[in-house]
Amino acid sequence: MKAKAINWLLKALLAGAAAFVLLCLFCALWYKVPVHYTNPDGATEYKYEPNTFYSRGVEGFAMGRTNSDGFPELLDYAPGDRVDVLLLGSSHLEGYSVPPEKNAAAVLGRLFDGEKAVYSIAMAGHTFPYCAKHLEKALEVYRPQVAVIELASLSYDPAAMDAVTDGTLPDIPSHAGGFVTLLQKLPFLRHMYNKYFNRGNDVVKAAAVMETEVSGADFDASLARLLEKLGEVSRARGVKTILVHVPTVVPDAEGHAVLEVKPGERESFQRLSEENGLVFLDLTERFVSALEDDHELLFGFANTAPGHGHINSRGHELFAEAVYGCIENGEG
Amino acid sequence: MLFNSFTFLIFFALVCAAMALTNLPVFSAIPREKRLRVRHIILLLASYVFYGWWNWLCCFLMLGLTLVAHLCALQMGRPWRKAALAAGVAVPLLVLGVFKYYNFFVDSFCAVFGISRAGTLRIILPVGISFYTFQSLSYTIDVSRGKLKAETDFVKTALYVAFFPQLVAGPIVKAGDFLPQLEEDRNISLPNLELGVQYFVFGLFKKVVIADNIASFIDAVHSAPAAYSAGTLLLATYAYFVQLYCDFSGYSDMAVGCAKCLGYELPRNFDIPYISRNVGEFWRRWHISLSTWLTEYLYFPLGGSRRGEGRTYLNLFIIMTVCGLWHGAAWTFVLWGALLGVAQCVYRFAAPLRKKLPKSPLVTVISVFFTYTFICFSAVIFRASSIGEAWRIIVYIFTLHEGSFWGVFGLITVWGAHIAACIRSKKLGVPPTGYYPTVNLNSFTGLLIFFTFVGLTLSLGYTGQSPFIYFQF
Repeated sequence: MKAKAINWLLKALLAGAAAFVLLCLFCALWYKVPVHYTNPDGATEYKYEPNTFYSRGVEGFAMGRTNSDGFPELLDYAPGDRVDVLLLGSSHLEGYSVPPEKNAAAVLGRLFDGEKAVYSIAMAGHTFPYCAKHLEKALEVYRPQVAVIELASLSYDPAAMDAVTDGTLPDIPSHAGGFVTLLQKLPFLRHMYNKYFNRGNDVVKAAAVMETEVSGADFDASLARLLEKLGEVSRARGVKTILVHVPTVVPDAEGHAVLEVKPGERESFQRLSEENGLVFLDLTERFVSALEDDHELLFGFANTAPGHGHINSRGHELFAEAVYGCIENGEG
Repeated sequence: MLFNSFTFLIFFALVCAAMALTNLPVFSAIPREKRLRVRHIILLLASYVFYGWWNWLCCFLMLGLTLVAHLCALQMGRPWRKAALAAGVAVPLLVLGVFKYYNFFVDSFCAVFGISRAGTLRIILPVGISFYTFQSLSYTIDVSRGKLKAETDFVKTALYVAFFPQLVAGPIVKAGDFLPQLEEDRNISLPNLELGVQYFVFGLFKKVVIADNIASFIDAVHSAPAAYSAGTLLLATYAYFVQLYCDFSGYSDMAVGCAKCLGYELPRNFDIPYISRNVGEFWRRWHISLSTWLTEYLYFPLGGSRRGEGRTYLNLFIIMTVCGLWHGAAWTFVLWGALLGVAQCVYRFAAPLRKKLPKSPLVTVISVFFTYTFICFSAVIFRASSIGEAWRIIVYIFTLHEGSFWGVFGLITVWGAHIAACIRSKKLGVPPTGYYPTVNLNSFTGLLIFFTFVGLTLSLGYTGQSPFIYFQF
């Protein structure tokens, strides 16, 4: 009886190990996210392991390889390479749910047709306050002529904006090193951890703290200070900085666009950007028109809720077209 | 607590551990009756903990209904048996009516007569009330008909009503099927665990991988139907039925699996319903426990098909409309039920025409396709929050991109499973019937397949908020 139980246990352990290998192989194609490390040059909070295969099938389907610089970019980058247009932003612009050749950076690069070198350092969790925090360093490292910052929301906590201005915005930690890194390299284990045990992960928490219900005078005052700082940083480097508002547009029951923007926020961003020599490119009209006139959903994917979630390849295309028009023709 | 939650896994493990303890040699010395009683009390307490996890106040409601059923059944041999039967039927129906339908009827009445909303009650709908009231009703009625002897042990009656694997979303178990099992020496055993765990994981896969992932697509489409193309709406229509099937049958499989682990058998609630050639067959394969209950306790007492054609049509219409109303207090459910009732009547009316059709695979395939399409389109009404929304979706289907991976995956998987079941049935020489795909967990290959399947379920499973659809009924 005892021998039988031990025999069964051994079989179960071996089968479990074999199943684990099979599941890791499956997750290598379904969900394999490279380990992220604190970015030593300070252009972003963190970046991924360079030259590493990644795949994402949980929202959209995308596979690719991080470049030599540790970003999910088609182009490799070596220090000193020419960068004319630098893109900064969050997971929307990072485009991890979109094939790399269809994300905004690639589309923008094709639109410029080689005239301008486009490079994206957009990373998940890098909402506007975090992009603003790292703008100076990013301009120093990449020396672009134009910096484009994606704003998926306009509702930022005045305390967070003040923290950027004061230099006290907390870092997004990277859990890399030693045994933890080894565990993260096992796709099935990483997938299970992210799915079931890390739903309040640091990146999500960092992004969440940015949203706010506060508006009005406090908001304007904090935003004014922050944009003043961004304006100074941009002028010091002779860089044209474009803030691109990517509104969340969802359809209502009648197919009309519903916007999640509080009254006055767009106007505040427009006015204060102009006062500080920044360009505020608002994609609201384009996104609303795409939904209502062309019946295009710019968010969501075939394996999630259509119309919700991250921007899809059509959304990236629209973003790139708008930025191209703004840079080339001053459209806004 | 939901079946697909860590809380339930811990709870169930504790229940299994407690039941397994009664297998220890020290319990063998105890008389059989006492040993069974200990197990029944463990299961009963566990069932009330399970139910009370949602809202402990609802436990009193269920206890009260159980007491009524138990006491009324005991009176069946007395001179006042008719009054006891009336009470045993009226009290559960009254409770169900108040909790589930009172506000609906008051609102509808006010809407018809233009009265401002008044007189509605602020009450929650207890989870599973439709299921356990029907169970207590069936017990009382079966005793009154002499099909069953009244149970003198309140613990057994209470366990029959409250048995947690089937408490909140069925299957609706007849007392005659469950109470005899309580007389037997049933408990956890390795063979039961081997099958029960596999049934459970199979149901879990259907629920969290297929149903819940499709749900995000369906919810988005139903919230904004005008934004989507006709193709997307059509896919959503077919995919919703897949979601409903996998959600409900997945839950039922988990319920059967849990009961099996504990040593008890619950009836199967679904039998490859997609292959139904007509609406009548559909209802013999879908939510079998409900259709059986309605047939036995409503259709037959109304006369069934024994009082002429006209009365038969009326009875069919009534039973299906009641079925719709059972699902929810909304006119969409009533309309859905009525539509199915009309379909049943039309099917019966067309019997002479049907007899002239040749018996060929082509006719079978066409019948299956049209039945399936009809059921899917009727489910649009079932799913919609209002008749207006349902009509809008149906109109939009016939008047314009975004596909759904999970919708197509679900359709292929479920249809594939149905076809596999039909092929297997043909090889065995039996009428088409479903089966649970189980493996031998004593072999390395079986264990490898099982562990990989569990891992895939965990990988692909949806992790947002995903209550079981039939909990709301």
